Amino acid sequence: MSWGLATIFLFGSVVGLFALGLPVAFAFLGVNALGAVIWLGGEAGLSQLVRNGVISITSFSLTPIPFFILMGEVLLHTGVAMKAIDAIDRLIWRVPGRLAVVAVIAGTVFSAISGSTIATTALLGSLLLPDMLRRGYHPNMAMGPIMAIGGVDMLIPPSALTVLLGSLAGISISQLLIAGIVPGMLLSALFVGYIVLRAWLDPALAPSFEGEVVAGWARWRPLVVYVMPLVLIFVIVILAMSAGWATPTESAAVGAVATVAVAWLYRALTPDNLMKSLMGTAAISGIILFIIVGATTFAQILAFSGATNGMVALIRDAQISPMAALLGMLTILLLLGCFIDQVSMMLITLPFFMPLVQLYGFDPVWFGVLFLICMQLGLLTPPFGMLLFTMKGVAPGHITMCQIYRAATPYVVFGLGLLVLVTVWPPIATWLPRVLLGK
Amino acid sequence: QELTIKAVSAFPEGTFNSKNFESFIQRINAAGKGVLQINYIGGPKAIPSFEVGNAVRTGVVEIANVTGAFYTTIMPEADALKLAQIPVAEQRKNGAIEYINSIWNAKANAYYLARVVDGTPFHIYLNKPIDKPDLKGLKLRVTPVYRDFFQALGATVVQTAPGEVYAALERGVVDGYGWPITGIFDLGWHEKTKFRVDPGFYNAEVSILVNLDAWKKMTDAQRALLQKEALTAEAMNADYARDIAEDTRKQAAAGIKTIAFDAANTKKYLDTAYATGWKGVIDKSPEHGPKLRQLISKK
Amino acid sequence: MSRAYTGLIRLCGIAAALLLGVVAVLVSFDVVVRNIGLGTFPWIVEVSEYSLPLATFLIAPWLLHRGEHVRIDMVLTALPGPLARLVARAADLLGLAISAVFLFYGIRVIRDSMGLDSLVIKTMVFPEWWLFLPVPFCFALLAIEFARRLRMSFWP
Ligand code: NA
Ligand code: NA
Repeated sequence: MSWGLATIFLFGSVVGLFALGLPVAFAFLGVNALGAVIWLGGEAGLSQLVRNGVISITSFSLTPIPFFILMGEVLLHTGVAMKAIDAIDRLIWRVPGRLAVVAVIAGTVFSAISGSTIATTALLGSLLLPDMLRRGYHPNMAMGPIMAIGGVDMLIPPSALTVLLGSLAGISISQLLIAGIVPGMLLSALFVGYIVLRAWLDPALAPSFEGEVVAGWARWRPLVVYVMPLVLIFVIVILAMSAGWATPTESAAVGAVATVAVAWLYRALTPDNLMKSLMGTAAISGIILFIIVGATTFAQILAFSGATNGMVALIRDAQISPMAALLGMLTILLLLGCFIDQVSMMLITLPFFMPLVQLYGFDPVWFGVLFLICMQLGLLTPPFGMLLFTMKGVAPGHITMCQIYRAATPYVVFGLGLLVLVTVWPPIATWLPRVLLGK
Repeated sequence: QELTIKAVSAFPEGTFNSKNFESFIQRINAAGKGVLQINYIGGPKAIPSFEVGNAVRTGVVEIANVTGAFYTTIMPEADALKLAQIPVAEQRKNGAIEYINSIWNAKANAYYLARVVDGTPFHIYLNKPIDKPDLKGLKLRVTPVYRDFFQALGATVVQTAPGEVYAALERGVVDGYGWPITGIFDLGWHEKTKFRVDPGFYNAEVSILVNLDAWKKMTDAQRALLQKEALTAEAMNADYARDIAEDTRKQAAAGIKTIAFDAANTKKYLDTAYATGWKGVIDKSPEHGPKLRQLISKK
Repeated sequence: MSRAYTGLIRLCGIAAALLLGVVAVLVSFDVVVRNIGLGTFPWIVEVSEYSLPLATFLIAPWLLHRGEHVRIDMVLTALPGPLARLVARAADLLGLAISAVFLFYGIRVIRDSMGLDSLVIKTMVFPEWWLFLPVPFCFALLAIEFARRLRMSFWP
């Protein structure tokens, strides 16, 4: 089978099975089984597929996912989160769409702790979403910002994916990490602006829900009392990492245990809500990890079919101008982002892209940031977007996948805007590392 | 009757550990028109690094570039190759390769074709100075390759995902790590490293394995071509001297200072390295361990 | 029978939940112990790695039973009732077939690994097939669940 045919066959059958309503993970597994028979050599290939599937999630770098979800679930089920949100809310009650704004700001702050985008979305989703929906927020207004900020997390250090990109691509990791800060902050500022504007234009999207206006100590007291636990957890996690006590992964576990401890100190913990939190954690993690099993092995089949090498060779061998080559590479990334996960995107494209970057003399840090933005978009683009699925995992049952796609759309547009902006004006990415690290 | 076989590497394409294998493939494909062609699928994007050994064993791929530490599950003896103190050319002469091949045939269903990374030592990299081979009170990031050795020197060992080593060094979660003399620049770790302990120990190993069934089915011409280019690849191991010199220079330029011990301590350091290394192998393979030790250690 | 099945998959889900909780405690414990200089427990890192596939495969049948696995429902909701039911049956049938394939090859991988006496040799040393044991177990339960859904769609 030629690589073109293989590409159409693989992507086509995945989309077809998605459309049948087969759960995403099973759709991948089904196509993978077919692919293993065709390209991995029949029976031995199917056995290898089973092994690769188990290996794909036997990874220490994925363990922060359940830990961060556990943090969110405990804060949610013990009611600690709700009180804190109320308290913050009281402070900025004049801001239209304030819970959504809280989500973006809390998410941006949280990005500075979390190295995992999925974990951030899961945490904020399980923490804020039920409350927003209960308050009558439109699903678009409730879910969009949370998913969008999960993507921003990747740009703001620490970020496991940025470190991985730096080491796979041979780009200076410290420069790349710092280069992500300005685009990340810019994006989250754009999000806040957009949310406030939308909520101001159409108050029905985010109903204001507080009649009484409190002033003085009454306004500040809840902040001190109820936001303290969150600050405490935050400080513990940050301290564990910055004092060199724990790796980022380990500090996620420390944070989860600290959250349980804090909930207990606040007399909010019961055996019942602890069990509920654990069950919720296992369910959301299970949903996400099961999809990762399918998606990772799909990318492997894609490699064996020749589809990935073929696609990228197409650009490599076309004699084109640097700008056209750049656009070609970004287009491939955006297309791949619709179907596969971020780690596979890097493994598949970098061996071909980095020589091109060198050939055309692109600034690798600049290219790295463009690559990061494409990956961030891939988290949000249908049909396969890890953050979309994470949101589906944490959202109440009545929310459809379609609603989730719609909620993400404006933020995808902003992400594309940022991509264009950084492409035509590189200093957005390259200025800060130059100032901070010299060169 | 041109035959096309599938190849994977346990290391990403274009990186240090894949280079020699990739040029081997190019030479085969250039010289093998009408005889043998290799379809290079790629690095870990195709088969996870720790599954490459199994993929060769079962014939999912016919040929692969992989290090022993990645398939000790199938055969614990794979771990012994890092302990070689004589170059592969000498191993071919003294019967070591023949013996290795017989074990690999029986246990991994693989033909041991060539060693394509040889003569590249491992080092301990630190952020705190030491003056004798004593790592007490230091936290070191390890892989199974040198865990026993570091523990024997008193280190507290920490396992992390490769992507987290940078952050762990930056924040002092670990005080150092083990790695070959080459490659720390690829990972950016030089930005967070202060010292390198000399001399190096062990011998980083990457080899080409061929599925044994596929090997047996090949014609004499196909096997001869593979074997000829395998020897060329092994001869090219001499080029690593240049990489080693280059990375050593770059490390100095990046401000990484060297720590060296006096003669007695150096001997103690290396003796501990090889004693713990061989103990690990022989414990798990009393059958082949001692013979391997005799064949690939310095006389 | 049906009650026993539901009880079993729910129990597996609870086991997954407890497992993840215990791992969070273990990892934190390791951090504390290491930093007060009482040594380290390298096996904890490995346990936390193995807990991910174990928890995932343990809870997957319970998630399917409760319809919590992510699916893309755009097409289904747009179709007229009878056609949508037909499509849903086709999906369940495919799900059953896929689960059966992974059940079969899961068993095969285990038999293969047992035959070779493969050992995982890290800090902990144990037979490799333990790692793959959850696979056939999970897909057997998933196959039953898909079969149940099919049966329910014909004889509610
Ligand atoms: Na981050
Ligand atoms: Na996507």
